[in-house]
Amino acid sequence: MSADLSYFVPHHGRAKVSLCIPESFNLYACPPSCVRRVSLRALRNGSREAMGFLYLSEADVAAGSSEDAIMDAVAQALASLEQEPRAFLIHLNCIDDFLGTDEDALLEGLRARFPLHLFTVVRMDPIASDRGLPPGLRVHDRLYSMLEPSPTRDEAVNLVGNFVGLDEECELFDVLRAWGVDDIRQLFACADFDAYRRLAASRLNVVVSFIGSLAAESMEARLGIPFLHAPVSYDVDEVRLAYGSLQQALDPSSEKAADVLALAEESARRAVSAARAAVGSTPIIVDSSAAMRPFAMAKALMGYGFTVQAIVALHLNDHDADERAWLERHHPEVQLVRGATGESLSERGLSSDAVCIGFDSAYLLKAARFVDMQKDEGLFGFYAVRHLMDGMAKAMAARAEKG
Amino acid sequence: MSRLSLFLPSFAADYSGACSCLFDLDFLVVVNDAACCTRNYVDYDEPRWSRTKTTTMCSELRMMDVVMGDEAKTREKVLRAADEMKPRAIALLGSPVPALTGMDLHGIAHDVEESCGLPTLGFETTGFSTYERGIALALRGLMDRFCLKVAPGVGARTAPAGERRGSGGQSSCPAHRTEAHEGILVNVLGMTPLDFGANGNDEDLGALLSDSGCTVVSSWCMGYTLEDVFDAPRAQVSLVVSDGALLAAEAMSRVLGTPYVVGVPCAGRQAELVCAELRRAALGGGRSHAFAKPSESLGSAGCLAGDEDEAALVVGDWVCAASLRSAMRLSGWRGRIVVASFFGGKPAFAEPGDEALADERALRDLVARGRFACVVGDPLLDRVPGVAACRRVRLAHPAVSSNLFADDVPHFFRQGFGRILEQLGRGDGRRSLDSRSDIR
Repeated sequence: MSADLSYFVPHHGRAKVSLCIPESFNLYACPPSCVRRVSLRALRNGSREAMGFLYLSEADVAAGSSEDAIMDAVAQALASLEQEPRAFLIHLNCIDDFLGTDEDALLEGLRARFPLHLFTVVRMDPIASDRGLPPGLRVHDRLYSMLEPSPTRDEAVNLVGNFVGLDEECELFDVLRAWGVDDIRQLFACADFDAYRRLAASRLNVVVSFIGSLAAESMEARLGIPFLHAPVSYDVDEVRLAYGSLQQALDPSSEKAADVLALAEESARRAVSAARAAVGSTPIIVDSSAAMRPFAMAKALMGYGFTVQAIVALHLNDHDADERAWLERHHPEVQLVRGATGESLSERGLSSDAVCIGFDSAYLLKAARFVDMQKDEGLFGFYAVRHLMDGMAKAMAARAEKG
Repeated sequence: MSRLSLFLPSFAADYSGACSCLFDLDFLVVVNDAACCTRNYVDYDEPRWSRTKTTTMCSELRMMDVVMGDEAKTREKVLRAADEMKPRAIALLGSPVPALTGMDLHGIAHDVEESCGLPTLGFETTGFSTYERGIALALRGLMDRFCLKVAPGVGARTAPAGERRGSGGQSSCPAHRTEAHEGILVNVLGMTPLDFGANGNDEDLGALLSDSGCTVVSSWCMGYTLEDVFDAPRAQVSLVVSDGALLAAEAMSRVLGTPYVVGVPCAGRQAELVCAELRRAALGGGRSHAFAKPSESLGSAGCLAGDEDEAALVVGDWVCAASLRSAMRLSGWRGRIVVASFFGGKPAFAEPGDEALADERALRDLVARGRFACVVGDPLLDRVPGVAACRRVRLAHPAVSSNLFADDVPHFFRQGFGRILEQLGRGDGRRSLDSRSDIR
């Protein structure tokens, strides 16, 4: 928890994805203001029809009648929707942590009243970030909670923890195909509810971001699907190790992937060299909007010989705590900036000539050299390294426009 | 009563209304919430946000702080930020959890002010109400603190001692100033991007009033400073351009005797009507609502062709929508015009048949029974069943659609506004909002 007030960099117009289960309906029960962003984002993304907002009033909160209201809202939604959903996700926000909705009783009541539909409760309560697991992990877990054990196991692999598909150029697809995995399943890519259900038949969950780790643990316990942590990394050696672990987990009979991996690694290393030549001693600033593990990214960059000046961590988590500790021990000159404003960054001697990896730092410093990355989206493996390096080289050459 | 929304987005909240009012002032504004509420305002309800101006920050409220009633943490965070940022004043705003748990924002504000000496205001926004309530709270709070406190014997138009920068603690008495001014001195109350966007409407209104012989003393809340707030009592009349400003105008009238006129001076005959009322009020005529009555429709003498059997529905902020109705009548619309709003209860100037909409179902029902030929309002209203079947004049209302249709916020005060009225006869020519490509 920050000891200071937080400043939020406005993300006007930047695309953001909300994960949804296909053929499901998301019912948010909360004060009206809580879902302003969610509702507008849904309109922008074309997913408004899959959402309903049950606005709780102060009177509802005082009377403690939200469970009944939720039941009635589900009935109303079923009567109004053109296409009947297969499942309902009931979203509860911060205020419910104080209302104490009996989740089990609510679900029991819903399942009894609407036996043809599946229900789960999702809590997005950043107010409880100081207790237990972060809300993002719990939300992700609930998204997979309606999967049921599959009587059969197929050769597909699930990617868990990502919000958007991997870029087609990523070598992971060719590697997995070479290892006999033709079907790579991802929640947001499921076309319908039956495709969602088939996630339960996959042989392995590859967790590409820590945000999917709780979901993977739950799926192992409930569905018997083993998982492998392979978070996005910008360190070539780490990536090679991750592929080694993946190969071990899949135990493929073919060695065809070796050539693919070798080519991808060589390509990544060439990109590192090219970026080093282009960037030289220009300072680098890494910010937490670019990567889920900004300290790990910074450590990787320093390992390649780049000069990382600062990590702007407006959004901090502990999932690269080891890398953070390493940086503090071995590179105390790298500044950690939290709760930043434009003025405070300048006062720290951070220059607008730096290469800013991430929108937040680029925005605050009005930086001309901007690598547009958002939470590792679309990236994995050696491709992630190459993408970052290419982005840095291009940033040196171009003057970026920031909205 | 709970309301289920299936078509429209959640509207701008009361804390966004208050933040919007305070944006141009040199305030440190702190929203007491975990994160999402501040994000709502920053990302979707403030188009003026810029790198050179930091106003609103989040207290990052956490469970333990609330459960233990530990307001000291919030107070310390605010004091540290104030020490670093050196604002002229501080505002603390509430959100749903502090509202539910009874966090004492006024008490925290008092403690902060005692510690740092900066004027600190607490606004009891809750996140359960919509933006016009936040505007009302903010305007009233600013007025009470900086305009309406009168030192006995000094006179009505005096800034509170010590709160005028550079005054050295001495108050000036604007009532005795001999500076020359021309025309009528006007306060504009209720100008925010949530109703008027950030497309220059504020400057256009200033120009229109100036061309009409008025001098704007202060324009609450776009393009104004704390000095303008201090000077507000100088005005001879207030112009209320949105519903959220009504209470503040009434307070100013009650305490300072400053009359007010309600109405948006949309370019054309509506502007003439409003300006005439401003002149009348300034000369001792008292408050008024600058809206043309049905009998005052120009009929065939106006620019609008129309059947007197055709009914129109205008949906928006009460004052803006009523002003559009008036402009329509003054342009010749002869049929029934109903005004409806999602924001606030029916005001005194509402006409029979006008409706305060509790939710989108109420709008749907109103459209179904009203048999309107034309619906004027935000583009997203197309999503409510029945609306898209009517002739549509889509005027973006940022408190509804945020920045999704930023280019469609009307220029109320430019001559081109007349073309908007002409669309009433034929619609705006755009197809119904039925695909994502329509949303930017």
